[in-house]
Amino acid sequence: MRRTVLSYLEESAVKYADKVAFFDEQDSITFAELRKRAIDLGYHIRGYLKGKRNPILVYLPKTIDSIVAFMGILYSGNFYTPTDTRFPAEKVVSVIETLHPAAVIVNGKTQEKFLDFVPDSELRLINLDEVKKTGAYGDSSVLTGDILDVDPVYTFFTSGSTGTPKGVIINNHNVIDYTDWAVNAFQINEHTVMGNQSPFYFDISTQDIYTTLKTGATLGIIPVKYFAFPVMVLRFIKERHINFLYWVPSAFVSIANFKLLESVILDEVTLIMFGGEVMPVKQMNYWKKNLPNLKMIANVYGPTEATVNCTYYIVDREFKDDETLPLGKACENTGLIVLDADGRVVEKDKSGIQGELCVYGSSLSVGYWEDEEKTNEKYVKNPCSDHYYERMYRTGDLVFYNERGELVFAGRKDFQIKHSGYRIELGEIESVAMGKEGITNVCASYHHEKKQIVLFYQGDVTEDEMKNYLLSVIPKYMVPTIYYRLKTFPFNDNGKIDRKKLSAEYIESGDAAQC
Amino acid sequence: MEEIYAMLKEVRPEYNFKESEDYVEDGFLDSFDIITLISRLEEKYHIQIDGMDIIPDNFCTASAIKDLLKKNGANV
Repeated sequence: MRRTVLSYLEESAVKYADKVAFFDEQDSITFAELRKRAIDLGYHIRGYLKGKRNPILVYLPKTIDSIVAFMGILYSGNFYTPTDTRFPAEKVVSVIETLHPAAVIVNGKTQEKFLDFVPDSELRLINLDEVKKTGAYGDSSVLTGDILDVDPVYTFFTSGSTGTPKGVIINNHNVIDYTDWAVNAFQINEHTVMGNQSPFYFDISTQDIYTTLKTGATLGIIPVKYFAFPVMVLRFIKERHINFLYWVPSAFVSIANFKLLESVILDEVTLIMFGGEVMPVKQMNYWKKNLPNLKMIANVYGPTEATVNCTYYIVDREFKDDETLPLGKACENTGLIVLDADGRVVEKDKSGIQGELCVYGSSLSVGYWEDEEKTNEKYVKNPCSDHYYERMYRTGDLVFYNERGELVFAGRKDFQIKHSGYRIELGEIESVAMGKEGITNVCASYHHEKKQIVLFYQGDVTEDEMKNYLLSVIPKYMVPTIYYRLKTFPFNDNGKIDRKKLSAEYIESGDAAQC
Repeated sequence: MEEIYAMLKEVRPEYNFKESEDYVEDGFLDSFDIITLISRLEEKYHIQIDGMDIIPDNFCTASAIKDLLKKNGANV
């Protein structure tokens, strides 16, 4: 059995030595070159840091250099936490204060900015541009010999869309288990050319990076700035022969809303998959209709705490624009339990009964960095394991089984509201509203003081039209009473709709009573 | 032109757009700003901007934005 994710790189650096592993706007790197640069960095880090399992912050632009840094850190026996060089100072400082990194990887360009942000820092900065060639490439076992499968690969800070950010620790065993499954499920091989959209601090990138290393595929890092100009993303995909896209739904939605796929024909793309938030069916159908050689569409779901994904659904039938895609079934080595409000297990044949989705199995993180209390709160004993202690993670997401036995997402537990005596999922209102023609974005919220459901939406539809439409498809008690037609929606760093910002601007400021 | 500057100022009040020769390169406008700006321009000038025209060259200066508006049928 494999011990470390580095064994993927070790093997591909032999089998696919001169094949391009990663490319960005400017450069590319082969598997053999990546291994060499990473080993050099591994020795360099070991020269500064004693011991292993130290967190190392990566403060680099989203380019090949980040991948070199990640692999170099792993060769040194430590683990990485990526940040974004576009983050404001406070965010970088808050990660540092929680993580207490043993070192920070910078380059000639980002070093100065980092020191501006954290002026009095005693942190050791390692400049990637100054790493010397060691020539010790044949000898990586000196570095990797004492790394265990339970040693961490990375710590990602979960997005702050609800609550405070927490550092999720993911180890070699977790990543190997996920990667081995994903490669089979999505038929990734040396001919696959993936187009990376996800930030490196978000775990869609875990699949991007490690399936590439395992199979000898190629990962194209799409420049972040291109996403402001969707047609440039499409041209990059076309010119670089990208054939596999795993993005957050918002990125797919933006291209669909501009109807660009009729102008730039992506005839090499054979697979699209999405996760991280709910993919609206209308925009999925647009992609499906306009990709001439599409073979597979996958909807995936999972919290960072369960390593990338714990459920998947391969789209196998037609969906109408106002329907919801199911989450599907469990990924390999993953156990799922649905617990109702009274803590009872919801069986698969009981369709329509809602409960919280809980996960156990090989994908489960050991917990949160320096937060035992939070760890114990979210990782609990599996109630179905009567005779020994087994850990289970409570996702906080509500789901139900449909009549086909597929899991369907119903909303966040935090977004479940009690209104006029009814238990209502804001997510359900959103998916219905999204199905109306002319609507491009929606977000439902609740004004707890005034006890009113609020709907934010974007699209060529008046408030009355929206309300009448909702009255025709959902029960009256679920229909929002306050409507905000927005020109644009705010998005957070992960590209998801920023609910906190919407709520702070419109609801908490107290001006939500006008409708 | 002043109308366009005013609109840019609304999107990112902290920048002086008259001093920059390339808003995109100088980091004045990120992806969210571009989308905000587009929807405001579309509403103000009653036009629909072609998705194929949403490229950095058309958003680098106020005069480039003016040309883009003209091309898409706005009366500026």
